[in-house]
Amino acid sequence: MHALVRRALDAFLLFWLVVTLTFILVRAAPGDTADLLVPPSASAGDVARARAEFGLDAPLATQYARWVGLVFSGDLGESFALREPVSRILGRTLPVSLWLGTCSLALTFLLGIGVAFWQVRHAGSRLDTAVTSATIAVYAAPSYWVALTLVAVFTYGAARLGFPHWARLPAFGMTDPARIGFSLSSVADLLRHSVLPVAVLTSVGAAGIARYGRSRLLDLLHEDWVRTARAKGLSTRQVHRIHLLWNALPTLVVLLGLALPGVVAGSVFVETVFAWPGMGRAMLSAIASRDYPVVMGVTIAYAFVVIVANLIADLLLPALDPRRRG
Amino acid sequence: MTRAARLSLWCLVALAVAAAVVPAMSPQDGQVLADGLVEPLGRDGSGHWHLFGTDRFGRDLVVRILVAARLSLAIGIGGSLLASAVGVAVGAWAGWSRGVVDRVAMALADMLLAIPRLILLLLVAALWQPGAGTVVLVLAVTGWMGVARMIRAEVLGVRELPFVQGATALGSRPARLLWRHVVPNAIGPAIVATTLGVGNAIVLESGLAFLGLGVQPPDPSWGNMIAGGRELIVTAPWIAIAPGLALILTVLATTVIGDALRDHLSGHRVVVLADRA
Repeated sequence: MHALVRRALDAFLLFWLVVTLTFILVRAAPGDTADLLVPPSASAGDVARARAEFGLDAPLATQYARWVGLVFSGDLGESFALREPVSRILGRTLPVSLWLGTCSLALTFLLGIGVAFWQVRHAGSRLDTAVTSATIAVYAAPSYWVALTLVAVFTYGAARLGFPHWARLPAFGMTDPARIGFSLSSVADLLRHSVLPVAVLTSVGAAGIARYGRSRLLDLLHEDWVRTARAKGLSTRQVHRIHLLWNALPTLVVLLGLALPGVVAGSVFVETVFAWPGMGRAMLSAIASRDYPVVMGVTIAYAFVVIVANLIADLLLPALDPRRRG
Repeated sequence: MTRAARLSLWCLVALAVAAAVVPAMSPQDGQVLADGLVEPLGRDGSGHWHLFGTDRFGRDLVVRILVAARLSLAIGIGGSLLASAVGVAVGAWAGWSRGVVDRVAMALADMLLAIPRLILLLLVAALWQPGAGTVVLVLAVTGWMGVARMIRAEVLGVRELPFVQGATALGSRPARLLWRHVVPNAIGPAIVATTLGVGNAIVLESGLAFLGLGVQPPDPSWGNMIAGGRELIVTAPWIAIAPGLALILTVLATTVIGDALRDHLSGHRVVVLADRA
């Protein structure tokens, strides 16, 4: 319990440091923020009024204190461009990104670990080498390029090759604008729209996991307990299915924490290419309009998700690995 | 060196040579050649043949990919080298002096690692003027942490070895001891990380360029070429797909070389999982 509290405190401290860093980064950016708040024709008085309205005339220390206060009260301030609370923007976009992220992460793991186990069972064979090459190639592909290629296949390709109707997956948007409201067909519609974006994130993520998992599992196979298990007469299949899986679990949990930032970041590109109204797109449009409160808010939301996920992974570890219980 | 690694090395050399030579032989560095969009393997109005076709301004894609290779390779290698240099310096210093310096440096690294690298890149790249120089700098600022941690751990181990005590007894000053004796013995993993980092930097650079926050057109980079083909993805998909193939080949080659280097240097296989775009 003691270690638990300490780990949670560490995570909290880390979050506070991130909050501070975001403030410093945005403040250190060149240019006067207030100039961006008013039209170019505004007088000096207008600029000063805008500065006062958004609290930009206060000393830096006061602004920092206000920022930290805002974050920890969950408010996050108001968007410059949309004149809307940042927390409301996050409330609208975070579920979109979470849906995309959770589906992809789950599938990434199933696929990645499945491929890794399959490769270990056939280690050294030609197929193993072929799959390794394939995972490196997919891992080398940028997610936005994979996304664009899929869009090309399902638009240009579908028209040229005459895909059957059911195989014509929607390449843009999260839902069909014609279907509003909650119903069974709207859920089916969401799922249909999710196939391509989730496939992109899953393929790129799973390639990384499979690559890492394969080398980790092969390392584990050199451990003494594998030899013991074989010596007492267990089959290779039993050793893999039971001993290897259980011993690999802690590694897999660590991987979950490591893979998350990649999936989160990948969603920025996927949301851009497939035009999904998620956090990544909100961040990009906020960057384009220099909407600093939204930029800061989204950055913090991403960091929060990553820190919490790593915390959960850390808390899960002792449960799976008795050696880590202190 | 494995066969795959040797092949990869030759691929990279060939790409670099082609990037240096081919555009110089084509008129105006691959600027307008045809009179409009040409499909891959198609011929334009004046009968010229185009392997990957042309973009909508009639620029031959092969030549343009090679021109872009100059910037993409330079940024990838430069960004990764700079990040590793910072990482080695910070990690060595932290591991050597321990105490407060170590705590502060590692807290800073943890903090930067808590934000997904791409988001950090977006944040920094967006706030400063976009361009090739900024991208290299930003790649260094957001990429030094892994190397720093690795070097720190190595230095902490190496500093306890007998030869360090020997050098101290012979009157070597701490700074000299660190740079001439400890760091060279701890640098192995950093070399591997730098090699693997090149591919990573190329992917991230292209990602920034794709989002309009990296290298700005008309300077070609693989990322902004792909971005340029995005609008025509439905009618002329090859414009976006061709530069991506060049990018994948390059990143694939650096990964294979990095893996071979690691197997050679450390004798065992450890795969590093990195944030990708």
